[in-house]
Amino acid sequence: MTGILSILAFEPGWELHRFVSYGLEALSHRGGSRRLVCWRRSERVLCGDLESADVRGLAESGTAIAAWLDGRRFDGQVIEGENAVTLSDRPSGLLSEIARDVERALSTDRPYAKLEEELRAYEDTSVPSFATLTSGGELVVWRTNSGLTPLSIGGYGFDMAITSSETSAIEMLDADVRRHLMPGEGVYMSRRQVRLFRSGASESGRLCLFELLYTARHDSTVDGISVYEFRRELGRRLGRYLESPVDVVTGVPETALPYAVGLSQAVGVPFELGFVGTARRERSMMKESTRERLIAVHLKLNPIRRVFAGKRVAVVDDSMVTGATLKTVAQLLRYRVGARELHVLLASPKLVSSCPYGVVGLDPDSMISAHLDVSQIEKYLDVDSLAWLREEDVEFAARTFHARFCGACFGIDSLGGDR
Amino acid sequence: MRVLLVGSGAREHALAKLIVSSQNAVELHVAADYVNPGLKREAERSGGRLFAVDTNVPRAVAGVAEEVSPDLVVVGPEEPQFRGVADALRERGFSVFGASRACSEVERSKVFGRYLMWKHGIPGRLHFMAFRSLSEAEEFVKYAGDVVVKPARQVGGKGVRVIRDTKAFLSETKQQVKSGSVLRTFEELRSLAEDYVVLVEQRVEGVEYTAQAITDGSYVLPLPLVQDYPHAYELDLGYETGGMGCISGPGYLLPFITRDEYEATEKIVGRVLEKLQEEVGDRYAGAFAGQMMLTGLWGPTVIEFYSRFGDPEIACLMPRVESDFLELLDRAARSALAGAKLRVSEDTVSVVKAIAPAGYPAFKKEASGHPVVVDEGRIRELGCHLLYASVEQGIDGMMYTKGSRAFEIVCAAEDYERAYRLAEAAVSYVKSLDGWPLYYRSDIGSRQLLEARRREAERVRTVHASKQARGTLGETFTVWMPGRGIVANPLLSPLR
Ligand SMILES: Nc1ncnc2c1ncn2[C@@H]1O[C@H](COP(=O)(O)OP(=O)(O)OP(=O)(O)O)[C@@H](O)[C@H]1O
Repeated sequence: MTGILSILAFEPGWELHRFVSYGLEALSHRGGSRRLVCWRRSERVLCGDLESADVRGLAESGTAIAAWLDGRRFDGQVIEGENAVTLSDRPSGLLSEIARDVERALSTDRPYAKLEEELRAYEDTSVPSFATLTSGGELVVWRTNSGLTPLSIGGYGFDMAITSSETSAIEMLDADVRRHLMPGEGVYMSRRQVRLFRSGASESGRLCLFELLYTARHDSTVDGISVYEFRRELGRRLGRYLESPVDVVTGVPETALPYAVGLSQAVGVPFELGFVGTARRERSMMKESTRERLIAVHLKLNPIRRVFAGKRVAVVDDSMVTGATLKTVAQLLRYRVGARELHVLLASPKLVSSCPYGVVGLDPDSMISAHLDVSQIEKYLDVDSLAWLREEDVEFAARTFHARFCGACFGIDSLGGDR
Repeated sequence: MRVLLVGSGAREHALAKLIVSSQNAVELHVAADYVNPGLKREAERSGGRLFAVDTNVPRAVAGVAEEVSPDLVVVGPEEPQFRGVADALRERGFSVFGASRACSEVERSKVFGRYLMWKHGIPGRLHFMAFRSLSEAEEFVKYAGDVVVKPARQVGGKGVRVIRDTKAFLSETKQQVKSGSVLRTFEELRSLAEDYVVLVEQRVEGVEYTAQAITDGSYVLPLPLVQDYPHAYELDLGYETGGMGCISGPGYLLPFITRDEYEATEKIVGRVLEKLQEEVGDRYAGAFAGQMMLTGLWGPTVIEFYSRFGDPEIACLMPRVESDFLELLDRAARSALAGAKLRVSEDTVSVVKAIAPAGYPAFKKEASGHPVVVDEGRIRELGCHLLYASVEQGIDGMMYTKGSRAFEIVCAAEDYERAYRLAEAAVSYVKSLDGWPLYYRSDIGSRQLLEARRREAERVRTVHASKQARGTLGETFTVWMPGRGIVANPLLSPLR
């Protein structure tokens, strides 16, 4: 899964290339290895890698859509139609079908009404959210009912409208966030009209829990929920599972820091920064191979010795897949630094199965919690205690923040909402 | 009483409705640029008629006045004021409500309005630079930072570019856009060689609202605040327009403006009116308005002035006015406003939505000439009003769009939720007959938008309170340059 971005300049003269480039930069943490951008040029939509894109052409186009492509399988992520190109945030076998329907709706004289009709068919079908750009300069951005990933709309003065997978990109582009598209909501935009539409929205419309747990940036607002506050709240809930007294609370950078802050606030034990990374910040879980993942982990974890030496430490992480990160942390702290006790707390329930929707690329065979029991994992990690949040904690957070989540990879079908 | 109303759009239609609802028997005549079906009907029902003339030509309007012999002439729009229509009528002895050419300078020239505020130290003033010469303007924008570029004179709600420039990595492209916009404005306003052409102004953020007033020159009667929505599209996206709708109430306030802020605003409006008359040496008899923004910089801050009622702002007040509005206009025209009171319904609010043909405002040609129909009966059943704006009656008796906002729907109710629902229902009775899409903003009056405004107001209020406490209202400190000190001019970029 990756990030998508679209920009419509109402007024001429904007160098869209720069906006696309910085916008995608602000979405780079969502994964992907190639940056694709599409723009229109004399009645056609052209696409190309951002590095080699036609800067003048983009400026003249006035509209662009762009995405990070998941290197291996970008086939189902980009559909080049007759008069339009559609980009989604993950590959899907159904994208070409939906792209065709969108194009058909747009060729009528009431495109947004038609869109509402055509897209209703996809209410319960798992299709990713997408953005379509037509050769006529129209943009359609739809958060599918079953898309699971977020989308927001922003505005820049009288000059631009921007949609993005995350609000952080809108803010980085100096624009204001105006609205979050909820499941089933979309927007049709051209220089001549902007219409919000809603199609096939239903109870089954949910947000991927992983989005708030791991994927989104702390500074983003997802479906109206502050990512940072959500994480800190779950961190507070972790306080219930810390059974032994500790001297210091720390988190595995980068994602786990707000959870650790929450735990620290809940139990009244100081939070300390524990690690400093080397090289540029990368999201280790997004890496493809074990080797790459480990390299990323090893690069981001040099401990600040004085924080841990001789101390009883609570270490917080957002989740545990293979346990490789926590194993590295535990070894460093116990053997190299000399921490007295290590208590590991995970700010999510146990991961137990793969994502049936292809949002999170996790292999169940590699999920340690699906194969070993707690005491076995404690022994393997070499820690004094190990605890996860439970379903009820996430349910509590879902209700607190008025969200409806998919937690399939945690073995939970649906969380929150009006059930 | 015989009244001649000058002007052609929805503002005049709202005024016409207010005028004919007077307790006095009224015979209303209208001088309009085209046959606006709404104005025509109001006039004919009262026993008057609509005269199609070029309202920007003083002689033409005076001709109509001579034919009608009105007791009062109301000059609605700004352009005829700029051209001296009110003066020509007063010279011929008519009693006129509407700013003279000299007084309307406060709207015509955005430089003049700002100059007045600086000269007299009136709070709520923004830093600006005005240019007559293209090369000087071009040179200046190379160094400009977080600014707004505007035409220096009123050109009917377009040409303003708000270029927020707070990210150095995007600054180069923004500088190009500013330069392009300066160049374009010079090209478009080339005919005004002697005058200022471009204004570069400090950009501010906050919540906008309009403070309108009626004055006879010595007495100022404030009207309830209105919030107008300048962006063409939902969510405050897209082009600057003349206004896609507005809200007002409850009472004189808006849900996100406090009484203190209202009073501070009225003080600004009053002082500007006083200094304006001193400066131009003429009496101001007519409507006046401050287009305001509540900012962290000043609290109530002036964006610009109107020498007339706002459109659609006056439409928002129309269903809430309980006094005899004609009497107020008449007293203002006769310098007898002292002691006058305006009664508005305290516990109702109103929502106005403009309906425009797709293509407005950037592609007006495409947006013109489309046949439209309205089921006015249904709108009336809902208790709402329909105002005719940029629509014209063709010789075939059908109504055609003229490229701008075609209609305004006006609904009042005891709270925003109800007024919103009524307005949403009412817009559905306006239809295009040739399939050309019409659009309006469904977010105006909605709870979400009101809440967003409330949050924004809270944010700027916090900034304002802290600036006030530290005694730095109105001041910005752009950058400290080693060896040169602090640059306090907010128009300059810290980069260049
Ligand atoms: N200094 C400023 N800072 C931020 N925004 C501004 C500034 N000046 C203008 N704007 C924005 O631009 C809009 C139009 O500006 P302004 O009222 O000066 O122009 P206009 O073309 O005369 O508009 P109209 O007559 O339709 O009100 C304002 O309503 C406001 O949203």
